[in-house]
Amino acid sequence: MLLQAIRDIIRALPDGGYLSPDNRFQDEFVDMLIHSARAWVIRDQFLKYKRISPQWLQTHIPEYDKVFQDGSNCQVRFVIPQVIALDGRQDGVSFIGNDGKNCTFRQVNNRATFSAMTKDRIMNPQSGRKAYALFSGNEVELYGSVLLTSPPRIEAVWAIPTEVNTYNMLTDDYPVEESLIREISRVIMQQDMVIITKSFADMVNQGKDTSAISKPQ
Amino acid sequence: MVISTEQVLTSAKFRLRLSETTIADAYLEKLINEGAMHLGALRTYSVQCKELTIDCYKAKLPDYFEQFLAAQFPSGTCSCGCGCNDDPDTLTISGGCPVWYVNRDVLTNFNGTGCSYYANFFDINAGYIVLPSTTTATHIKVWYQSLNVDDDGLMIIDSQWERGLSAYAAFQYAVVYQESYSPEQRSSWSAEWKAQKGYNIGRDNIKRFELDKHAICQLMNSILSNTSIAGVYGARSNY
Repeated sequence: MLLQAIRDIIRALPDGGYLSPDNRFQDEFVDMLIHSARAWVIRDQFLKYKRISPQWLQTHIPEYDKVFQDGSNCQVRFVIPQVIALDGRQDGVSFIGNDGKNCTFRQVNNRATFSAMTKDRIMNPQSGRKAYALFSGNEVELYGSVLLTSPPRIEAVWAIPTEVNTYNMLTDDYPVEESLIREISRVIMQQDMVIITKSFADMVNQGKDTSAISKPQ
Repeated sequence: MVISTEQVLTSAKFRLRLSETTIADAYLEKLINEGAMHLGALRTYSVQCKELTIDCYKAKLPDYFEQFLAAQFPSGTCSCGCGCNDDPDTLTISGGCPVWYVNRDVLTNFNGTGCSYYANFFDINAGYIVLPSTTTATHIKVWYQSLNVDDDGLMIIDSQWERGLSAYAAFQYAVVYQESYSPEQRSSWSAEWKAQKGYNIGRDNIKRFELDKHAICQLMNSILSNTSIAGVYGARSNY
């Protein structure tokens, strides 16, 4: 999620009156509320049951782009959407490996950990024995000899499902179980939307908030 | 039957409910390898041989080398002069017959094939076998006790150890991430590891005794038939 989007949400919630009825409920704004509520509900479910439901997963196949490479021959870098965090140890990445093969790369979520691992004879990612995937922000770096044979396939619980390149908003189901939709709407309506729905709408778009309650004189 | 580290890793991941991620794979593999290295089991060490290149009278010992057993200059590169003594300064390396150079500390009754053998005529220092300055050979073939590892440097594991080692890895991992596992889980894996280790070490001792029985049998036969028993000890040292 972009900082701008998060800012819009935070700004919009307590000051719904500054916005017109149209932009208070515009699609993009409500989508963002749904995505963030989904992430919250999924994390809650994972903490309870310690499992990733297959319904939450989406497949992303990143495209190779020379612009993102640093000229090194020992790694390939891809830009990916953001993955949600599940608990202190595990995030939403379920599988990363070669497309069409069930060969998994070992996931590392921190460059400092990755660096420490290079000092160990068994764990050393640069030994070439296993392929490793280092996740860093919105990038993933792949290390190992098998990674260039075919494009990687990443199955994960993504923070914004609409940013995944295999997702079609018009035809694909939203990646969450039916049973959690009620929970998502509860989170949105009881926490986020409550301030907006209780605010007066600014009916006149004149650059002045006519819905604001004036301070007592 | 031997199994790979990957097999034990998979067992440990399912125990820890980490089958949906690869984030802990490297650490678990390290724990499994660490556990396997310190078992003291029948398969922890194995006798291996390798031909080393000599440069400036010394040759780099192989990875996972533990103890030198014997060496021989391969035919064609160099051999020995028979009937020499153990003094490296007077040893002549020029002849044509195969000679064994053994570690007398380990193979006390070794009797290799060929005309003779010499004991402890070189040093082992800082990962190198250091030969006398009279050496003209370019290669030396070395037999040694090695950690029993595969091509990737991972321990070769007996299938009977799968349960114990996966419990060991799960216990160690759960100790690090205590917040995710209950005390009951940790103590259960710890107890399972200890029980499995005791049971398997006992089984290994029985197996080791069965292997020794052949040598004991030969020794008894040689005493009864009044023949030389030197060869028996030579066979015994192969275990």
